[in-house]
Amino acid sequence: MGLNLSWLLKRFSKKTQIKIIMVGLDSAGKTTILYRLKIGRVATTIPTIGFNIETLEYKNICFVVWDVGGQEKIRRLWRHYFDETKGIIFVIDSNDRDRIAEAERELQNILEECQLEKAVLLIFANKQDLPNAMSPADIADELHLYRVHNRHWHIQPSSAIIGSGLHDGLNWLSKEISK
Amino acid sequence: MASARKKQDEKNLKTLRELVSLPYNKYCFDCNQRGPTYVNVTIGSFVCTKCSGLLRGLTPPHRVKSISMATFTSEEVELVQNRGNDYCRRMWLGLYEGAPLTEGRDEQQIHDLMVDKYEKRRYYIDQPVSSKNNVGPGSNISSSSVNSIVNNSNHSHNIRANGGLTTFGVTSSSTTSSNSGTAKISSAYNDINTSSRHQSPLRLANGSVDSIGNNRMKTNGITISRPVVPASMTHNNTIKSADFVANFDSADIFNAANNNNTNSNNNMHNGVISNGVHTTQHQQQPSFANFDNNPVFTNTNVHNLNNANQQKVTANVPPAPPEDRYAALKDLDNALKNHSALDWSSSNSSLYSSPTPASSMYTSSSPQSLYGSPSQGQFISIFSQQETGPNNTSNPFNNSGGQLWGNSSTMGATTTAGPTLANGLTNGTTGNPNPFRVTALPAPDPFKMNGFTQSSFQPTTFTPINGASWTANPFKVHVVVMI
Repeated sequence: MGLNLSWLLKRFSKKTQIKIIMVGLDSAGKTTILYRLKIGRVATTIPTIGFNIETLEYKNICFVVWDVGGQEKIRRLWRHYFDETKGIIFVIDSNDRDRIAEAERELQNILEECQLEKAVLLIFANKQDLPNAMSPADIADELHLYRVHNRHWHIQPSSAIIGSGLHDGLNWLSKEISK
Repeated sequence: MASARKKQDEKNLKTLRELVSLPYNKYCFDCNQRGPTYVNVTIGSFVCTKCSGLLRGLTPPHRVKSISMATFTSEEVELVQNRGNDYCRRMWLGLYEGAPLTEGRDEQQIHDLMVDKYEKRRYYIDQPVSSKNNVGPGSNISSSSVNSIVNNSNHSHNIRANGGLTTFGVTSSSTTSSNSGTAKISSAYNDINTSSRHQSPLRLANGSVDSIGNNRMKTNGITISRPVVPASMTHNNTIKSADFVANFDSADIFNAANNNNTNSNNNMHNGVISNGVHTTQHQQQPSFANFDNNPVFTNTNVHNLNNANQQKVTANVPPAPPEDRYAALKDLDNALKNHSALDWSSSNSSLYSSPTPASSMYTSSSPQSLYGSPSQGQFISIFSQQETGPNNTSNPFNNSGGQLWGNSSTMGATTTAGPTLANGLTNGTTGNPNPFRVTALPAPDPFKMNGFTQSSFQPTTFTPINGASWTANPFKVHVVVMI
């Protein structure tokens, strides 16, 4: 039994567990992305209070994705999830032009956190299925991503409803993290 | 600055809490569940958590905000104040004749109804005006910005948009022949309200900006008791409402009669003209004769604006045949009877006293306050509120707190070698502060990582994992319910 257990542990330890935190404004689609990746379909979500956490297998990496609620007053909680985080997924509602500036501010805030100094940054320009969605380039512009020099970042158009772009994003993330 | 914003936020929150406790707002607008916790700021209704989730998924998505976890701009609060569930019901369910909304509907039904309601607009009535006079939710009519958010009918909203300035409301409602004109007027009024700029009303003057501006100043400076309509203004009649009965001309006529007693408050005169429409306010805007006597023209900025607008409208109105004079007044009186009392009731204070709302949306408050008692209390109250619901599947936090581990052991089976392995993992792994461990053993070690207190992790939510792997997850509980 003990042998069995240790074997299992050993086998497990081969898989690196990577902690990823997924943040963004409320209604950006974080939870929908998480469960789209986890169960492969669109689930009806409610506004997240607190967080959701799932492990996602991708290639040889086990992502532990923390999806933290994005409502205004609970954004201040984000930083308490930053410890040991290897990657940030920042989700943008591409259709919400009114709040892109707000998103930019929040992004800058978390990029200043020293706990996240070494974390790579993946941005999902989500809701690309909507007709009036901003292009990833526009979003990168609005978010002043081109000024971010001290970390690797990537902006990935996605649609959690359709399911497009999500795996591409994870692909980039796994490559960056295993570097 | 920051404290002013905070004050405003608190004020808004208080207003919202009061609103949500009104009888018609006590139930979710979309599913009728008791105790809404979210505001649909797209249409101005109160909804429950579950419906707020569904509303986000519509096309175009509605914007929902939690009462306790978001800050609201003054515009949003005003919208909700003017709308509320009762008004929304008349508007969005105006043509609805199906079964009454009951709490027992399943999520799919609610979603379907939402699609019909908002995406297809099958039950939508553009102007639920008829019911506006007995507006329940409108008892606090004070909005200035309804127009900018939902642009339905200039006619109905102008009256509201003007808030206390009933005179102006009447004017615009009687000039429905020029809708664009009234729209401009109301939007400019919004400008006035938010920034109290003196310039803004001048923009509305159709082609006679300067002369009006100058006249306004003169008039105010001299404290003359009626708006002087200089010759230049009569040349500037740009609104082509030739058939429109000139109410303000009639005002002029009365003014002429009243010229003798400048600076007097000739109430008898007013009474004659306004057919007893007297409101109790001393300004008595509704009656046109008050142009003469209204103290409005003598003092504050706000009143100056009012003055200016009146002048402008006067300028835009061509001379009318005298015989129509009273007929027009009669119409106006009727309109006033319907609206003036309502408008005056509560509007003045909020209309002009609210600080600039633009910046209140984004609070950049200090992080410490998060852990201070107020916000923590807030969270706790949210949770306890949600826990009280008997069949509440919608509290992700409690569920995740209690059952996260159950989830990870069952779900984790797909990703790892098996349940036992997953257990080994939890107890054995180091590295990140493991959520699993805590949740696996619900007793002693509360979640240190998140900012919530232990009380939100009470094992009361530890329902049995009934085989289906999702059920353990808060979110998945939800999924099971609906799919």
